Amino acid sequence: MRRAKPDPSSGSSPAEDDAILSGLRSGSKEARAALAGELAGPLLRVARRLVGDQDAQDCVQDALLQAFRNVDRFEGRSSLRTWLYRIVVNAGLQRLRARGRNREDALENPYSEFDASGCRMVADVGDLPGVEDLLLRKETRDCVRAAIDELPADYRAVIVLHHLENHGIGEVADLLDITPGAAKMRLHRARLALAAALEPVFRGACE
Amino acid sequence: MKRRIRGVIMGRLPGMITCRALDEFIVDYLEGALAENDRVLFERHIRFCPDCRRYLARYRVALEAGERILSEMDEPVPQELVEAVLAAVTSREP
Ligand SMILES: [Zn+2]
Repeated sequence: MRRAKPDPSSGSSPAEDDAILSGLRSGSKEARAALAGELAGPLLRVARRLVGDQDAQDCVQDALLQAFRNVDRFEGRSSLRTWLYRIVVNAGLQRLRARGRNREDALENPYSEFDASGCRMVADVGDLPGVEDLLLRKETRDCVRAAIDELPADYRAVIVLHHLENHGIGEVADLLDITPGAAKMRLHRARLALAAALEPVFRGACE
Repeated sequence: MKRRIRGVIMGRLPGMITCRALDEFIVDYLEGALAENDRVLFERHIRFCPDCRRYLARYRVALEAGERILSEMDEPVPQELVEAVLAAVTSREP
């Protein structure tokens, strides 16, 4: 299921990195243009996945300008690219949160419910069609799209980073500065929200 | 098997886990990241519990449908957007 992961740190040698870094430190316009030219595309890709076109542009511009301004704070523990990637991801998350879809309590009614002895209660609706068949129905696609749009900011970020950007759970946790346990919980809750949204489709498809 | 009886069996017998406990494993299970021992517990539970079998099937479908729709919505970054960012960050002093 995993695709090859684009490595944000690939594409240039450490020597080139050093040259760009010292250029940035001395305020060189060429160094800024070189870095922006290389990274604008990849950074826009992740930002768009998180927040869409309009906000993506602002996220990436702000991140690059911030990097130019604060290059002295860059400690060199990660590559310049990883550092910028992290700034963009967090800027995107902040914008998502600012849109107000941060009500995790909207998902208080979880898809998985248990009785007193810890037993799950799932309605038996017969055999489920495969995902291919389900996705042929417009109803399914609309349902999934709406559910994705409704996801709280933190859940959307985890889904995008894991399923589109192909980061493992540990990397997602690291990027968002949360524990791996919290990253798993968000991923799980986000999937439950999708499953809950799809329940009418499941029932309809099995009838 | 009646759900209540199953609950007692799953909750008390060694080598069995409850449905509730299954949820704690499900993300790692689908990542292929469960320790061997836990994977055995997970799969044994699924074998004995029709409710969790249905749940896992729907969970998987939801996850795959979500991933699919997200990738479909994911178009290449328009060149104008790249140009706009480049213009903005190189034209002004940071
Ligand atoms: Zn069960």
